[in-house]
Amino acid sequence: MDGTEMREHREITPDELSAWLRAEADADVPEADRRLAALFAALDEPAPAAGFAGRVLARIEGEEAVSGSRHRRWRRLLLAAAALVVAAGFPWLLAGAGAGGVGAAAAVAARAFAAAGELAGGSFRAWAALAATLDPLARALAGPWLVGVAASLVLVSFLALVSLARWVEREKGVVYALYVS
Amino acid sequence: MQETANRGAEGPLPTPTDEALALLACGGSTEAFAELVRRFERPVFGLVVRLVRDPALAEDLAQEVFLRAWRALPTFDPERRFASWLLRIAHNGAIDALRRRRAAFLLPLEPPGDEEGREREIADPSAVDPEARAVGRDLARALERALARLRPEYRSALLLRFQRQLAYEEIAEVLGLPLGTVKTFLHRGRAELARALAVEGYRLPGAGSETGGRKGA
Repeated sequence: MDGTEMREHREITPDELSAWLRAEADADVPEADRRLAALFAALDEPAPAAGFAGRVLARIEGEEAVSGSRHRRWRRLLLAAAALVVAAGFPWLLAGAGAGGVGAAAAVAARAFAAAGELAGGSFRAWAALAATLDPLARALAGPWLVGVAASLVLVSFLALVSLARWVEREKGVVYALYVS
Repeated sequence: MQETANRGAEGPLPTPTDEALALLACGGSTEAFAELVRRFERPVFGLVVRLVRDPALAEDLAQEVFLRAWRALPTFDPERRFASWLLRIAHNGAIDALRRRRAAFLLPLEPPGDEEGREREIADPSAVDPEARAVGRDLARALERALARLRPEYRSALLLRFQRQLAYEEIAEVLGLPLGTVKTFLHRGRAELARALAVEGYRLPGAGSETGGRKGA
């Protein structure tokens, strides 16, 4: 199939319909296929209102403009945040330096490094505590019986999920288009 | 609308394939994508409108199909057919819409494109015998109504096979189903279509009413 194909319009005749129904009744599949294709070829091909492609492109352009402005907004926000940090830090450094010249500034910087070191040390200590807490659990998990139980649980969960997915898949089929005459 | 980049104003340059246009569009060419939209607006709209039975909703969904395709172009594999890829997006979009809007199915059915047909009738009154045309219109309406009674999956399979003339493998790709299931859908879809036409009053002589049905045959 190609999107460029065009078809000539023609009317369906009762004979064509009968021929298809007869082929279906006779279970003559190739003939039924051929006849049904002829019937479908005679159906009107629905077309969207004129200017469809233009409307699609307008939506694409609109979407790209919005996405571009979103990016620009983020960039502006990041720049503003950086400027704020610099603006807040600069007077603080100046104040530190002003109290005792370059020596005081160096002392402030040293204190900042020390604080950062404390912070890092604290986080390492927290990790060590967590590891110590989890260690018995890890050792227990290494035991064969617990691994067996865990594997069974995983298997049961997996089978339950697969059944659920199949059930949902089957439900998908229950969508009917009814009509009101 | 602008012309495709590959299409010159003069000289018999070969028309670019859908896949080539998709590659150009993937590189950011909106002209190439516009050409793809023009090529596929009817197949996509035709499939969607016959699934959702609501021209306004179908227009919106068809636009959404092309938007999704535009966004997903980087994932398109040019080794595969663009038509199958696009129709799969269209089919999935229409089925999702049907699930979201079950209440909206209860719509009066008129064959899509009927207005267009009437225009043609006025423009060219001598082309076909008016009585034959009326009978043909009735049959087309009955076929559309019968088609609308089928499950959407059967309807899609029949439309893709008998209107778009896709191969079984391509239908399987579009519907995201195994080949065997597609064949089953087509088989059952044909049988259900014949039953739905019988409900419309069109059945073989042995099965009840006259050949060709109740309406003027």
